[in-house]
Amino acid sequence: MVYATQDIEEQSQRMPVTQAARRTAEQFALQHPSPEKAERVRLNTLAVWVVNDYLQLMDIPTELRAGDSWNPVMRLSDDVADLVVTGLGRLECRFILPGEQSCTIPPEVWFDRIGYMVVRIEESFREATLLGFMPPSEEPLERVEVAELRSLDEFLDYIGRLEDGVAFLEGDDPVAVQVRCLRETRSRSEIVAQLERIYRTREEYEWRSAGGEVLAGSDAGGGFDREEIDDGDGELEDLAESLLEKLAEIWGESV
Amino acid sequence: MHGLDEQLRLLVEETCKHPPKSRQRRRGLNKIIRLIKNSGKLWRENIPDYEDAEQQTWLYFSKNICEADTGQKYNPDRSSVTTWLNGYLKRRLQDCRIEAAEEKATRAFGEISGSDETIDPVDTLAAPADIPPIEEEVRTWAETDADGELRQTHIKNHPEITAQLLILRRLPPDTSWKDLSAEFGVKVSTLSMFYQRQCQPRLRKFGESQGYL
Repeated sequence: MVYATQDIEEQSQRMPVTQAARRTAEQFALQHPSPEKAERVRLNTLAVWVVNDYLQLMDIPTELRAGDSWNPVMRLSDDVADLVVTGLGRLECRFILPGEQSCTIPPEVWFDRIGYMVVRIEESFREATLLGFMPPSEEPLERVEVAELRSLDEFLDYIGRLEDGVAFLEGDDPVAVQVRCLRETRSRSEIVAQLERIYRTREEYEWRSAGGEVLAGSDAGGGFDREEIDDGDGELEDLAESLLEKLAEIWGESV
Repeated sequence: MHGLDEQLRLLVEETCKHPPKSRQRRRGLNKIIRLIKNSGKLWRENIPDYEDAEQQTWLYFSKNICEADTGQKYNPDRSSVTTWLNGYLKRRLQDCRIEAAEEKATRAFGEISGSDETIDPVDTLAAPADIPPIEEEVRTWAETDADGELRQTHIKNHPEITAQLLILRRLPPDTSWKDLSAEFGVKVSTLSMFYQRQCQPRLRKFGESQGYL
């Protein structure tokens, strides 16, 4: 699934950068005395705005102002460009400049992301190109190569899987009800995103134990000072297995 | 030229067969937008508001191409997709020109009536201060740590790496993750996972409580 540069251009989507976007980016940038930081904030803001505009066209609901990228306290320390996709999680929107072939992903956004969208901001600041995306992987993504990006079509399918998975977890199926009872405090979208990753990257025989870990919460990392849950909890693994089978059924249909 | 219109007609027909939010609908919309953009058939003008009008046009497209939502549903018997979109785009550009003219008139009136200080929105934005007050607020909040939570939360087996320490060290002039990793002998991913799980939620909450959102 690696595209040659030419294919990347063919698969990409050019988007207008509105004056509204440029004004907001300027306003955010002005809050930072360091010119380098100000420039990064400006470009981060433009990238988030453009992806938000694109998701609106694709009928994917978002909450632009709910992201860390819109929170001045978060922008202070973090190089952050997240966009909240309603009910699914945070999509990180990383900019690159013309001529660049990769971008680094700062450690402060390695976790808690449903994916990384790469946006090239053209020199005029009046056009941007959505080049493609990377879904989360097991290991933190430290760097994204443009040549390795997945297409926007794959992105749209991926979002569809997350939407269907969350809808399933919120539905009446006994497996869904059981998961909800067990994990009332964990966000459903987080569970779905992690199970989708297992579905996508792991062999079927690994689903049981990997899924069990997700349900146990050890993969999500939530508690550093809390008690560790014992490895290999049979009941959880049973549940995870049923859940992954149900999800695989739903996701398989749409392939 | 006819080739493109025919291709688009078929694509629209196919795309609209699928329900809204389905992957086929989204893929179809994505493809139609790309085709039109790359064809160069979209009306162009060089005014500062052009991109805003263009984005409004694409929104109108995606809402009304298959169903009547914000406007009338597109009718393929009446015009090609590009003609339909260009009609809408030109009306939006006309709106932009009227708005700009009105703004100019209001400014001119302001000048005549003696209040010679016309307000440029850019001037009302805060000028960059040496150290933004918000940075001082975060520092004070983290240092004070009123309920002791930031001091007590730490990386497992590393009582010296607390949420308080990381928050303070990440404030400008921030220490890089690599340097923090070397200093404490802990992997960058361990630091950043702790930071994302334990520090970011608290910073977010502080930001909200200060009314920054």
